[in-house]
Amino acid sequence: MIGTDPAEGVAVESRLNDMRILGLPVQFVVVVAISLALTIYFGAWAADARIDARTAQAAGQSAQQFDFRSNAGSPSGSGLSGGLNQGAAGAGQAYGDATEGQAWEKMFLFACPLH
Amino acid sequence: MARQPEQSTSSVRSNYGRVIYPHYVWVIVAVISVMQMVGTSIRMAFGVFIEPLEQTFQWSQGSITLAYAISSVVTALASPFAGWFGDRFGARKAMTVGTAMFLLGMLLTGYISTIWELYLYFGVLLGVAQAIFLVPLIPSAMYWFRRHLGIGMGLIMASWGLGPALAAVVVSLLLEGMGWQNGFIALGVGSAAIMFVLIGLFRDTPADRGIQPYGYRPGDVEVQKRKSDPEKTKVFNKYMRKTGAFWNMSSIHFLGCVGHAIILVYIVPLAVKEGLTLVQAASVLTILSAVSVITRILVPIMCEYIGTRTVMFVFFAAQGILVVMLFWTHDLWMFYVFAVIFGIGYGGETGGFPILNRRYYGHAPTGSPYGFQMLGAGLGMALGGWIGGPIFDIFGSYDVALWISIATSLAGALNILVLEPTDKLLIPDWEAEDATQGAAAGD
Repeated sequence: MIGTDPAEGVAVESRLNDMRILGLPVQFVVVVAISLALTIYFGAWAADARIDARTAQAAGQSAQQFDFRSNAGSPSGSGLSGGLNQGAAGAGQAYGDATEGQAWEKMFLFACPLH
Repeated sequence: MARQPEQSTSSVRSNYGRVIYPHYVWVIVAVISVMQMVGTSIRMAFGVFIEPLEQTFQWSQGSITLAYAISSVVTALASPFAGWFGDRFGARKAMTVGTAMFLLGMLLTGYISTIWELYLYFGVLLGVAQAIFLVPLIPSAMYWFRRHLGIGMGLIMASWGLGPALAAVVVSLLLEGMGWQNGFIALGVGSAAIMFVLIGLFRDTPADRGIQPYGYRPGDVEVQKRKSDPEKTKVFNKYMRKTGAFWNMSSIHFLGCVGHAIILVYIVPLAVKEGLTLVQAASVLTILSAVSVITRILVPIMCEYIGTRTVMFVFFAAQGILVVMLFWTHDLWMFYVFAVIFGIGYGGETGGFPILNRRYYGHAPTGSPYGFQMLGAGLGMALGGWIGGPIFDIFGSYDVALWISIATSLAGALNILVLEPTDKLLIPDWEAEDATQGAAAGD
């Protein structure tokens, strides 16, 4: 306890300080374990959110490209197919970026069993 | 070779009972304070370099600030080694090696052309250099105080608050005058020159100057002679690692640093989000740092007179509870009020650790435990500085980061409550025990 010495408090401190996991004090192990778990969990969550956002953005861009091309039209009729192809290519490229992700994102997603 | 103390008994007696009196210890305190400010200036002012580097090399801000993160983590990881190095070879030699590495790192950083060079020279080389010349200073200062350690530590801790405030101004003036490359080189050469002069004035122990430590009274054990014995340091470290306090002080420092790093890093974007201008938001951070200087000075002294765990508990709890204010802080004046009262709690978070080390381990070589505590602190600063970013990406606000700040500070406060009592040394007879074991083993 704080202050000089309530005997009861000292007993609690002694008991806690005597408790060990792998030779390390239980408080220390708890702090390390919770910090690691939270870091990995939030890191993976953020990675997931960033990849989702990029994917959605890429999908939006490809849809815009498709709309633009199809609306623009073409007398030869190649506008629609061209738009589809280019839209798909754009989306593919963007989805590729999204799924590739950055090194830290991959690391957190690999480490977190919940994401 | 250390000279034997020659201070006359009459001079020692004339200072008996006085708290402040002339002594070489004040030169040591000044040297350490300036070393801390000069040595950390480059990291404290790193933000000033971001834009010039971005413009010169077209690197992204994320890539540039990664160098800062690497440097912080490397310093944290190198801290236990730096503490051991100081115990083994003395703080003065450690400072010399660290300063040479610092100079090399700064000069090389001035000539970088790729991002990997920035990571290697600024992140790794300067990161290790900072640990080597900064970590051994505090344990070394402790040898200089037989009593009144709190006053010395308070003055040294104040430099931690003043450093960031001065560094940004000085470094930005330098950059404006000579560009970032010459700025790095000039800052490296100038800082190293100042540090080498300070090393010339520095002495590891009072015995090196032939005097007694500050607050020495006739009849006190002349503990400073123990310092540079590598065998005894090794023996002490063996016993120290078995104490719970060695591990728990590091995790407590970690929790405290996560708690305030979140606020220090994200108070500006948070305030800007609430409608403050960038300059107003930055002024909140300046006020916070300035107020923290007051409690940095007072807390080590209060720890000595009131009780270390009591004072540390109060300031950890204050640091945590006061963050709740940010949930309903929207106007400039409210941010200023927050800055003032949070600065009080934040400034008091660090100052108790050297006093705890003294209470638990007495005059034994405490470089290793202090280095291990700095490892916890460094990792806490890195985690706290980082975690707000991902949390903002997820939730679009800093609320969860603020709750983490509150929770970690309060968890630190709870851990302080269950630390061992400070009224007796944890390993009082480690030298005797070693002698007994040695005798039993037939040494």
